[in-house]
Amino acid sequence: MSDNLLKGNFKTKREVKDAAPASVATGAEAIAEQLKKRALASLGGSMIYVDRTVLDWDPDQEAKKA
Amino acid sequence: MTTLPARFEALVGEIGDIGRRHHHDDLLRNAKQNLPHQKKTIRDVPAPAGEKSKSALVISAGPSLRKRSMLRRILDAKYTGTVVAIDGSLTACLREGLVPDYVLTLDPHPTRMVRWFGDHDLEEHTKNDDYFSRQDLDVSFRAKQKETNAANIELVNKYGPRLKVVCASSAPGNVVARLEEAKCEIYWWNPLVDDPRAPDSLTKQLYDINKLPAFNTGGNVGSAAFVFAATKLKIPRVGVLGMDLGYYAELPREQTQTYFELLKHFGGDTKAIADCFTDFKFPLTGETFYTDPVYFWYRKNLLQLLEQAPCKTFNCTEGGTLFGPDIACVALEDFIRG
Repeated sequence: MSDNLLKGNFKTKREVKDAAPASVATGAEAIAEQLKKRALASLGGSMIYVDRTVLDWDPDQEAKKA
Repeated sequence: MTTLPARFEALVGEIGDIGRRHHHDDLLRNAKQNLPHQKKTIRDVPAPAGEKSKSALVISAGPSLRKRSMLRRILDAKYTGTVVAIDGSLTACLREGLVPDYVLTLDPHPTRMVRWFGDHDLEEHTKNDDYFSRQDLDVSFRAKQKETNAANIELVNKYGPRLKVVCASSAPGNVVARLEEAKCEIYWWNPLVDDPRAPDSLTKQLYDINKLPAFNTGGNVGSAAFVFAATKLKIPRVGVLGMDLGYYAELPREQTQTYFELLKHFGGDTKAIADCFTDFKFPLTGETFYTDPVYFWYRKNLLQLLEQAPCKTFNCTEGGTLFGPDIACVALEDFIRG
């Protein structure tokens, strides 16, 4: 159905919110996804990640040196 | 170490992204919240002098710290170099009578980290959270949570005015409040979390909020403490201890910090979980230790950081999984004797 067909020429009393996007899983799939996310978050939960290129970065010091 | 199972390597590869997604919002929010508390930065840390400038011991919170009585041995050896502790090893140090020169804290977790400094809301914060009951370091805490917590509050309050806390802008509000309550001297920094020159860099966004210098964390506070000693204190000889990055062979897999998360992750597939633990033989003693994917990731990161480190690095843990071409494994007393 085209979106244009649903466009009205009036204002609704209540604000109409967009439905959840089609890509959002529902039901069992969503629960499984949520559990996976929770498990992954726990694995990564106690850490900050790392960039492997430099040990430190201080633009103020770099500016002073320049 | 044997060849790594593919799913182990895949999971290790995912950990950085997991952390990035998991912490992105916390880092920005905490950096903004901490802005009014920023009085000094790590640029203001005084350069160590005399014996303190010659060597440093970085004390992480692995199980070897207790098992091998490391803190007592540091005191017995009358070590005169710099002592850098992390949040997780602080109260163990203070209980033993070892007052560190610096204490590092990094993790943004809203309820767990404050426990390392004594938590006024312990009961609330430990409801439905068994994280600390799976920590090896502080066994006394498991049995006597309330009493140990009260003693920790008192200890940190007592020594607070003598402590220089090197606190990441990612620290949660309750940790900052505890440090201020205990009158610690706080030196702020940003965790280097990506390439600051990249468009959309999170490190650059943090800098734009607070103008703090950043340094690499290796993914955990122990590695961050090492980078601090090597690059900010510029100490030429650094020993790390309590840096097990793994478990003693006798510890059942079910008691490791990630077992239940792995169980959930692999939907109860025990073969998959078995693949997630890898054995290492510690070269100094020949003893076997094992890692899970998280410790393996920390180990890999630290070995990469060591390639660039401007100091000589020694592993004085006397066990665990950390060894490689840029780190020499030695007994603690051998390091102290120089």
